[in-house]
Amino acid sequence: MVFNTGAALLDAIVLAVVSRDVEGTYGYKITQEVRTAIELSESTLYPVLRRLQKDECLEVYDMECAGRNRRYYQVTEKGRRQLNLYAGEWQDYSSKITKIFEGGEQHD
Amino acid sequence: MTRWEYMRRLEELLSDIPPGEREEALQYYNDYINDSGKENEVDVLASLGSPEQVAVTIKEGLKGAGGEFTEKGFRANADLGANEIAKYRQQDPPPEPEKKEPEKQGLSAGVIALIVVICIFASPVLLGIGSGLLGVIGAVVAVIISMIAVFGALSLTSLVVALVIMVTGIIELITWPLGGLAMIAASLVIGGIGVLFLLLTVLLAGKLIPAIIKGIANLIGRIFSGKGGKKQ
Repeated sequence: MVFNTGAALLDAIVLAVVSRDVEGTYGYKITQEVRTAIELSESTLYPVLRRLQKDECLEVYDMECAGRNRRYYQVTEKGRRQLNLYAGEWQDYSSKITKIFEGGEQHD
Repeated sequence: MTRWEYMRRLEELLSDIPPGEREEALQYYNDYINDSGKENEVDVLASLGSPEQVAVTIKEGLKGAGGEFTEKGFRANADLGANEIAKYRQQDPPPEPEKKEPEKQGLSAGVIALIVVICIFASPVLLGIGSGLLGVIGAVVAVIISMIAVFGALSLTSLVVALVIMVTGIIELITWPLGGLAMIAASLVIGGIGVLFLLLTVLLAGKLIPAIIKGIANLIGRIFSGKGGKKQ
């Protein structure tokens, strides 16, 4: 991809992906869903998830699935607020850039 | 390299990080390989990168503020704006006042049914405990009420006696001044005691009884609201 995804945007995308599954979701699925939007090496997401977990934006629980434990991630209340903050900032940022691209109104 | 060799190698490479962190990471990658499906194992190991690369990624993640992750992987903290982002992350996101969903209180029908059944079966025990508890509460209340009655009676008696002695003392002043004065003094002392008991009575009746009633109400309230408490 031409544009870089910064750390904050990556956090925002991961929080958004995880929050889509109310019951929680797991590492492999999160990675695949993030990869539908941005190019991402498969091993990159672990440190991001781990950090979001330490920041209390994500919480984890283990659930048995097909005879083994699988770790699930779920967005916390704090994570949801963080995501809303990011989403608002993104809305602001992207709409301004779009406006410039489309040659819209000019301020002086 | 098979997946077992891969995981063994990764574990070796992570031997110098805290055990908790190591287990977290190993579980994550183990899950990851499992979830990719058996037939994809070789592909997944290839796309994850070598154990060495994965170990570096994990360790750099542990260093925290030294840099940041982007889709390109770890990037040293030289970039403009990385500090900005760190600041952004540290601040607590503001609470939203509007979008509060109505709190989901109450229990599902199944759980309620279960509780009712348990209550029925446990009723002999519960009734025993309940009546015992009621007995204790009743006794405490009775003691307090009788204390109020006794103090009230004492104060009333003292005040009446004080009044009688006072009046007698005043009359006596005419015939026997010294004795009259002594009686008036005695009546003041007894009157003082009476006022003291009166204050004690008012204190007990005014402060303690409402406190007890509130306490009992709270206790009952807590028993019935039970599991309704929301986790924060």
